[in-house]
Amino acid sequence: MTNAVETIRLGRRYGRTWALHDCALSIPQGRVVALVGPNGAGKSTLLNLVAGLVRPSAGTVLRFGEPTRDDRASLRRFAYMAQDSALYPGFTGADLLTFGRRLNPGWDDELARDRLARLRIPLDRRMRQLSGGQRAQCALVLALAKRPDLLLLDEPLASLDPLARHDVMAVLMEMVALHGTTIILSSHIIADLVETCDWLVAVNRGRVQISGEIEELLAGHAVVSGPLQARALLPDRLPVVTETAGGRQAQLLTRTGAETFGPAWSTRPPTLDELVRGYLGTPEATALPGPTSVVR
Amino acid sequence: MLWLVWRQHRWQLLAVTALVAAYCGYLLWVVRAAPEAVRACGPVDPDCTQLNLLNARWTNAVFVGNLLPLAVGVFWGAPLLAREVEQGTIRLAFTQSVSRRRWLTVKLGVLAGVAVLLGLAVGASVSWSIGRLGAFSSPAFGNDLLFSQAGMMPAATWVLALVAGVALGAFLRRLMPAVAATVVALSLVFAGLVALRPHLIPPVDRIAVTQEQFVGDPGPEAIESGWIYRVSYLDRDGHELSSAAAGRLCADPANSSPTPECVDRLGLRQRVVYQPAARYVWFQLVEGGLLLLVSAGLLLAVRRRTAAVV
Repeated sequence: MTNAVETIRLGRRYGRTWALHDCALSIPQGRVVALVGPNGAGKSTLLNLVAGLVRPSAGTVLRFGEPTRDDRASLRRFAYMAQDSALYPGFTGADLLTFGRRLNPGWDDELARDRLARLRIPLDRRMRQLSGGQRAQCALVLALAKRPDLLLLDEPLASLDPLARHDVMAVLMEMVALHGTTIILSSHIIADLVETCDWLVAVNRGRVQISGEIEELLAGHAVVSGPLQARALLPDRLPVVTETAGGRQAQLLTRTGAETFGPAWSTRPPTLDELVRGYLGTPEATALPGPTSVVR
Repeated sequence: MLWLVWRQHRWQLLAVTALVAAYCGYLLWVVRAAPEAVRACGPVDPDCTQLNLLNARWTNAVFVGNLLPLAVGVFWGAPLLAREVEQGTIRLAFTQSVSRRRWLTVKLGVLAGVAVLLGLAVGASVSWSIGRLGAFSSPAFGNDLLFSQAGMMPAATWVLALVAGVALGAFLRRLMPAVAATVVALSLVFAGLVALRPHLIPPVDRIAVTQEQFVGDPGPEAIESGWIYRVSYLDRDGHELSSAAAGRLCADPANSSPTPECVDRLGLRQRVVYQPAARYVWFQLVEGGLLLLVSAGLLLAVRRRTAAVV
């Protein structure tokens, strides 16, 4: 099966700075991908490149094995939700549904109406009259009802309350289960992603640091902790991602499986949060394309 | 897509259509009594007050009519892309299952089509009212403000105004700067066209020997020979004299041009540089073609721009 998204040496430059540089990604179909990274790391640039909204300065991006093209056949396979979830402010909910229906051949009107009704968003209200969270929900409905094979969501949870976040994640899971949709969503809040996402892409300073299946990533890393004075006893060639010292304790995130390093040191698998924080705090560390073949 | 064009641009379309309807209606209302006023101003009973009043109103209206393309550029053209970019909705528009090329083609096609229709309505109203005023109207050919308002000229001007607004919006990406730039650019284009117009086709340079071939200087007869750039006189030695200089030579300071008697006495020949009246249609075609050519170039730039970036 072809990958849902594949990028080859993909880069985008704005002026002199590279917003994204030398990005190599392969994301299989049917995955729910968590795209994480600090502000300005290049997450939005990556999503815009995949959506074909921005042209690459270098390299190529493929959706389902084909280059991004500006035609109906290519456009109808993916849906995109922008970070600001911008909608036409003068459009009513009903206008938004008509917009979706007229511009998308695969439009699922029932899904859209059901969801708006469930969220109690009145169809006669204009977008500018809705709250930020409601607008984000409307933008998501527009993306979902397009019935895409690939769903690109830029910070879909940012303006939602915890309950709505949970609800959105549940809807996304339903899309995956029913239609095998591939979903890439960017977020700052890692906790929201733990339960639902099965693939992790971490972007930092315009570079992809990690890309891989979350379970494999967790299994391929370890948190090693022990007394600080015993630090020298650890093997020199230990692939350390990041190292923190708190009091007399040293804690290391390493790219190793469940190995043991003697009685002084305890080893346990990292949490997703620890893994992500470990990498994002150390921008020069990478684990690509999977945790088994370490670059550098 | 047609639904989207109507939904997004209906107020602008309706507003400009209402503006044009009001303008054309006013023009026609002003000239409704024109033939009567023209008759009243005849040689038998020279009562020209009504005609003068009417003519002044009409001239002012036509002057104001030259501002209409600005409305098209500012209300239809500039927001088309600039507002979408500013609102961020361009990302929404360009990720539906409609290609950018089609999106742009349908939007511009509809708006340009309506602009042509409204422009033709303006042109027809102005041309028709020129006819109602008869010889007392200044002719469209040779009049800077009237030329651009008569016949097919408004249609071409409006298309350019629309496309110029869209292009500036595409490159400036923000609404207010695009609006301001559109106003400035269209004013410059208008001034440039007025300056360029006399040079579009080389004029005829004619020297009349017998007085039957002379054009009146100035007068209604001059108007019939088309768009006159310059009238001068040549004396027996071939020296060129302005009308006033020739009049002085005749030792007749009351006249600004030489009398027929004086012409015979001094053997003056008349030199006229002008565009024959029959060229009016050619001037319209050349200038209209030029405007459409520039529009096509701008369209190409807009298409390349929208294909490349958001």
